[in-house]
Amino acid sequence: MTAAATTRPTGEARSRLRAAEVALIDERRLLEADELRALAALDDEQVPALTALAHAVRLEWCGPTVEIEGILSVKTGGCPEDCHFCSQSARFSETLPAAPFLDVDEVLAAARETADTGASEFCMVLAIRGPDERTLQRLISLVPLIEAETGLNVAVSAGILTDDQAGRLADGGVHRYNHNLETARSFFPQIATTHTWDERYETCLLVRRHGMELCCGALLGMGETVEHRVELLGQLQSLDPTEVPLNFLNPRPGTPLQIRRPLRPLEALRWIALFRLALPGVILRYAGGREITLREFQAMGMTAGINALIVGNYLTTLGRSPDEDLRMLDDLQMPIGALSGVI
Amino acid sequence: MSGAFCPWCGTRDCGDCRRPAYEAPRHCDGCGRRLRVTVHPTGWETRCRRCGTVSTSAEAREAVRLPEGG
Ligand code: SF4
Ligand SMILES: [Zn+2]
Ligand SMILES: [Zn+2]
Repeated sequence: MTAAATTRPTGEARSRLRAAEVALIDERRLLEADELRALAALDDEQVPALTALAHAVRLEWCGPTVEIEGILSVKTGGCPEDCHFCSQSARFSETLPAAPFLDVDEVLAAARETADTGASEFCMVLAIRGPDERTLQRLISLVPLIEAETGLNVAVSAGILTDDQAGRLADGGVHRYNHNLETARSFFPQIATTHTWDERYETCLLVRRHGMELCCGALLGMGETVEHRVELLGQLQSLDPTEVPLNFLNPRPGTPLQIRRPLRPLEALRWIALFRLALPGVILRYAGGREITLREFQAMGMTAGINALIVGNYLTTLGRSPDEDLRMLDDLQMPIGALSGVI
Repeated sequence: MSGAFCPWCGTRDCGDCRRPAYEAPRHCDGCGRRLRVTVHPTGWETRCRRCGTVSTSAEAREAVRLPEGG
């Protein structure tokens, strides 16, 4: 290879990165699909430069603060939906047996555990298509109890909502509602057949319409292409969520996606950076699958655009200990605090 | 976790499974049945609906620690 052949792509890469920097830092505008596509196509050797830009954009738009959250599955297993990545669907063999709604005491104990980690956010998650009346009332009755006991902001993830249900959750003090798009509209039919992507999108719009903060996440590594990911980023831009939890597939035994391999660490870092560059002002949260995907690269995600963490365990799988994450943040000298609608 | 059934695949005398990272036990080591698992932010609890046995992450940590500690 000649010197010219090796330097030219680097020069191209530099100009793509420079154009993104001008757009995001000088002009403070969102990147468009073509710009994201060009960045997604950079060579692996350019990933450190991409993550450095994403970190600069995160500091410019959001500051150095990191938000910590604890999550709890308050209603586990037995879900009638068929999301192919999910061990809580009742439609696959070998998935988790259904458990009843946790007692108030169990929920409060988990909220206290969360508060003890220094978290500011606690999310109750339910494996359901959407809440029935009894479930909705239970959730609404828990919100003030958790707030009074711990001072935490309370978030809820209870599936597809009606307009009336979204209004009642907002009135009941739910500060943020999680409902993930998970993947691009055009890929979604390969991931779930019992509900549509449009139903998910509609619930996200309802959440915003009723004044709750929208937490709308993605799950990478389900077999989607680069083009699907770029499509998803555009769809997230159009929803303008407060928070985007970024999950990496942890292939669960018994689910149709059990055959998939976790993303490679470098690919995960590239997409963390691209999510930050596409969504410069969001709370971009490390969520499920980061331990098995990134392994010793986890601190690098914090300098690639991530500015929030789920600490401790996930819904049905375990995370690394909160102490390890707190030490990582201390080592990185990133302060911990609540973030809200930073754009 | 020293019963006859594998806590990961639920078969008797399996011997093949290695403890997966970041997982609570899935099957009862006394009868092989799928456990009901409650995961909370800093621990987990399992319950076998056939045997009635309950185990927790705190006990599991202790069981790992004791042989080392003597
Ligand atoms: S709706 Fe939620 S709990 Fe139910 S199968 Fe899909 S991801 Fe799992
Ligand atoms: Zn086994
Ligand atoms: Zn048993």
